[in-house]
Amino acid sequence: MNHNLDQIKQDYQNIKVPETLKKQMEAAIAQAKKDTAEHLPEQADTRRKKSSIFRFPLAKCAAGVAAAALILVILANSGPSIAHAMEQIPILGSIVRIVTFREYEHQENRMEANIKVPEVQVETNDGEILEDATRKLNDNIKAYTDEIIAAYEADLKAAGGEGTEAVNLDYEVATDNDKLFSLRFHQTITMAGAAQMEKIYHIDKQTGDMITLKDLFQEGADYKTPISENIRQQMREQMAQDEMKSYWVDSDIPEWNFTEISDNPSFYINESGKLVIVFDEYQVAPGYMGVVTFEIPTDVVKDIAKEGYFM
Amino acid sequence: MNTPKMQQQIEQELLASYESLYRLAFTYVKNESDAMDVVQESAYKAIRNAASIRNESYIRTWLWRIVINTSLEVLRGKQRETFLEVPQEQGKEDIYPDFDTIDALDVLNEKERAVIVLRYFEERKLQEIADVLDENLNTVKSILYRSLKKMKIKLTEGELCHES
Repeated sequence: MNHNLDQIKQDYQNIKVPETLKKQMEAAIAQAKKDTAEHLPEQADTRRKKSSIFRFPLAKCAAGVAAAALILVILANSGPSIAHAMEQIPILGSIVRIVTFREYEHQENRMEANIKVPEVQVETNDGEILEDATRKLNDNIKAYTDEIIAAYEADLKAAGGEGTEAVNLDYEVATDNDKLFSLRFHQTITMAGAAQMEKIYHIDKQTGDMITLKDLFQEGADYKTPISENIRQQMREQMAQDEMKSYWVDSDIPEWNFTEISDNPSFYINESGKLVIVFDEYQVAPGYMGVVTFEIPTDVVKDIAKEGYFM
Repeated sequence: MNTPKMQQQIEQELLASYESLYRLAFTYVKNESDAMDVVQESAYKAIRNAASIRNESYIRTWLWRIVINTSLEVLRGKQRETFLEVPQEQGKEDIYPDFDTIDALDVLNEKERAVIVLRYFEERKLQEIADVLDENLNTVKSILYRSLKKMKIKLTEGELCHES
């Protein structure tokens, strides 16, 4: 009896799952999210829509978390392994350096955190450390990362060993040119779903000061209106071109619609010297769109921009 | 919990278990293209109806249920489609040398099939299966015993056919 059942089980497990299934299912998921966001009636039969829902593969995976003992490590810039790790960081301009980083690592049952906290040093060209600027930037970074760690530790305590959560924070140098040094943080929180957030710090290399978007424009200039207008236009264009794209613009729910960038939006200057505005997941689009970015054509802002930031 | 967040959770569960969902669908519809349709359509339905689920711990059993129901819808649609076709000769498959043991499940009704697949092949707990089928635990147990009994008979017949 059991022998036969085992045989059937084996055949069951040998049922070959088509390789294209995952992509197709992801397309169906994306379609469903899009239809939900747009309040379209439910399609009774997605099979009819097959040709149109095949196209949008999502690249999202749950973080696999294994059970392990509690580890809490804070690395300092002391051992050879750290020195080696530091070599891997693809950066270092002449003025702002990442001199070390600390790593907050924790794993317990299905709770996991990996938070990298860089420490930077702002120097003049002669190698003299600008202590005020250095301290200010590091304090800001620390306040930001401490908040993330505190939120994780609160979740950890609340879950009492039963929670499932993975917090990951990494960073990269988004911009490092004559004018600007920008440090971009990527945060991913995976519970049952994942949320992605971005935070970017900018240092004006001429002054060593931290700057925000308004500092790239002439005093008193209205930069928000032309940038916001351009983003709305890009959203509409992208949605017209690709039906799998969806933004909250002209939607049925006016309070969700993107109207204007905030006072302090995330941004960076990309390799071609263009301003890029960054929105966190869910900020201006349904979650399946993830973190979204818009490159602003320099024409849109050249009349009001300070010299040298954009190309 | 808001709908986009619940959608994310459902999506994660779909990504984690779509292979199992596909196999379950396959035991009902018996061919690749219908089973793929069932999984796609179930995923679509699940995300669209994310707002109707209150507690994330029910997501998995809820997905199983959607897949079973969608499979049955597909089968019923097929029955209508093939209504006018000449009925196939019965019993022909049994004498094929590459007899597929999964066909042993054919003797089971919809619920019995779900119980056997989920209990033995997906190794789910009886209580979980009870939640999927919206039955109480004792009913699921009796379905399980009844199904095993039925399958034993079927397998014996199948083996006899091979030998003859």
